[in-house]
Amino acid sequence: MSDLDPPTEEIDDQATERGETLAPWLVASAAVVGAKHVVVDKPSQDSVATYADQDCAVVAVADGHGDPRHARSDVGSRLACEVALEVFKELSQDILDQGRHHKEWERELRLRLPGRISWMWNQRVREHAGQTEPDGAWHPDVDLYGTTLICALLTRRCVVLFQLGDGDLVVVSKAGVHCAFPPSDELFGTATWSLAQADAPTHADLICCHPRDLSLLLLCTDGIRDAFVKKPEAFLGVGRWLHSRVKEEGLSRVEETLPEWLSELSRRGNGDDASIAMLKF
Amino acid sequence: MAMLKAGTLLRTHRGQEVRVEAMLGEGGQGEVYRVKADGHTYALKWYHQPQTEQQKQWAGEQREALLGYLLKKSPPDTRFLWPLGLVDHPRGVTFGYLMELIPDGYQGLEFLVLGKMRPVPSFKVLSTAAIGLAECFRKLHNMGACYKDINLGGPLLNPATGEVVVCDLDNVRVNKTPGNIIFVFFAAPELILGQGTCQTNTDIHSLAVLLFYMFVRHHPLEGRKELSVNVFNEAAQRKFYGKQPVFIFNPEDDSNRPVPGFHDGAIRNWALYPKFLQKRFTRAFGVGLKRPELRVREGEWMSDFSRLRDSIFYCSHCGQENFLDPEVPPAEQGLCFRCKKVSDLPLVLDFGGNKQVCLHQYTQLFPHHLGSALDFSAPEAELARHPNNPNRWGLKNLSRRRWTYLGKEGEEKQVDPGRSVPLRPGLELNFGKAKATFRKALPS
Repeated sequence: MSDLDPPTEEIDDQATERGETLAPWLVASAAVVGAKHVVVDKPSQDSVATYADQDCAVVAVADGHGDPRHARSDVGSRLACEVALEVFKELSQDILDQGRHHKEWERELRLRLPGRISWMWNQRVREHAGQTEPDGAWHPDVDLYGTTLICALLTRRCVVLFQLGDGDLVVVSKAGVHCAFPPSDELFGTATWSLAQADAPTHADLICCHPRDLSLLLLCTDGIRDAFVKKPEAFLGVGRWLHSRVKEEGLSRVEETLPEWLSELSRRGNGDDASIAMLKF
Repeated sequence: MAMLKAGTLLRTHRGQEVRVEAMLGEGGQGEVYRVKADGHTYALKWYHQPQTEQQKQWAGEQREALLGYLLKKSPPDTRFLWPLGLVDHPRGVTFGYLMELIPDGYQGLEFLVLGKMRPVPSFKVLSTAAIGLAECFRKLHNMGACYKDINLGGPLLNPATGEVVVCDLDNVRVNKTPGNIIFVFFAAPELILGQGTCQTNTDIHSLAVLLFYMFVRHHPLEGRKELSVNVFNEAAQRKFYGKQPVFIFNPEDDSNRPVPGFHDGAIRNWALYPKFLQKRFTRAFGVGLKRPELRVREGEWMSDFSRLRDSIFYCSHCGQENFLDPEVPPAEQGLCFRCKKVSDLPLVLDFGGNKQVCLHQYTQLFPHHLGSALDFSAPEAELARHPNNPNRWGLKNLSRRRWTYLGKEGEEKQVDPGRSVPLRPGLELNFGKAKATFRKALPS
């Protein structure tokens, strides 16, 4: 066990004897305008969204690309989070209604969910671009809205983790702290996969797991990792640090302090927008 | 979290000691571990502990099937990673079975469909894999058994060679066993509707879906109608795949065509293949949906994918594999789907009927080309360069038999084993059990 791994006893195990993790689960989020964007009075290109009820919890972050070619990426990221919430809330009912194992869901969702999300996002974006009753096919107009998307769904017996593009989905579990999806080895530097690509679904990653062993999920735009560019191995320490703070202070107290912390990270890093969504089991 | 810790000692039903080494993965039914027994390394599939009465009943039936059927049978082909021994939990709370480890270099077909298989397999590799899978399932069916839930998770492919193995054999049962459906979108419509039992005819529907996924990277029934249903809802799935299935390329019903922008891969990939293969899939997902006896048999797929292999030629501009399709009008022949230029067409070896082989530097002829049953075990001929002039190619006799052909003056010439015959359009070769003529792909 490395020093990044929280001791097992720190993990709250809410699993019942039937192997279900029950509500309440808690969600929190924060987003700040990056230091370099503050200087030029540019709005944040990131978006975050959270939802929780007795049946499910959903968290999402999206990082609009922000450059002139993607001039409406702030809208693109907001629409991506909205689509994620909508798709995952509907999916949660099907997961709850069917007693299937999470690995069976994983196999099926990998084939179908990325295409669904891409289709719905294209449709919303094309509507925003002024097209009349567009379908969800890719169209050159969607390029203006380019964004990444990271989202997670929690139900009693199944957690769905989804990522398209850069950023990090950090998992704090009994096994330690790790990123659910390692960075793509097909991209270099600041290049990222995007929902605005015609072949976006093929670049999505998705896994399903049981909530039993999980304690905390952190969905981070790349502005957070970039603050650790000089010491990348310390990035995962954020997971351990936030986990222990949530245990000691409670999620809502931690949420209050997140904007200040994110702003500091942005100043220390490359000045990018920084956003985080958290899901406490 | 792993159910078994490294170092745990277990025993097979024959008393063999099994030591757990590491967890390899997790699936819907259980976890898989690397274990050691008698100095040999195996995989152990270890079922999830049943939680409900229904799961306990299923576990009992599964254990009985392993002990009473699977462990008494020999695998019909070495490519099946067949159960080798039952392993019980010391307190009886669950159980598992031993099998050989998946050999290095093999990847699940899910990677292929998601476009994440590396190296990306060539069409020749895919055709070889399809023949191998159809052959494996034919052998399984010939012993009176069915796989029950053929899906992307059971077969594995070596993307460099096209070799296949099949795992998850624990669901194999004797024909006409009632079955619970795990992946509705692979199941035969009559099973979804509760009107049949698992058997060869239901397996070969699933096999057709699997092959369609391999070559078109898409499900054969997921077209326009998919967009109007919640595909994750069980009731909607049963209606969609069981009650009202429509093939996306059904020539007589265009109500479920692929939608541009959502099903681009299906549209693009379907167009790559020769008409004979499109017609076969059309039968599998046309009349075959409702009349199980008319479904495409394993042997038909083997012949088709062998023919597809023989149809491959390489674009003279970019080197991309393309297919020669005699049913395409001459004006459209040779258009490379990648670089969009018109390629030179290959010389073919025409055996008559619809049997022809495109000739290129990688061409090999196998026993089935020369009059025997389908057999890829060892080539009987291959294209080879002339030893003194590397720009000249010939067909080299790798068999033990002498071939003959007629020379320019009408005299009989002989091609002894190890010798080559020039690739001359019009030259007719006599292989003994078969004859074939070199000719241009298109009539001049």
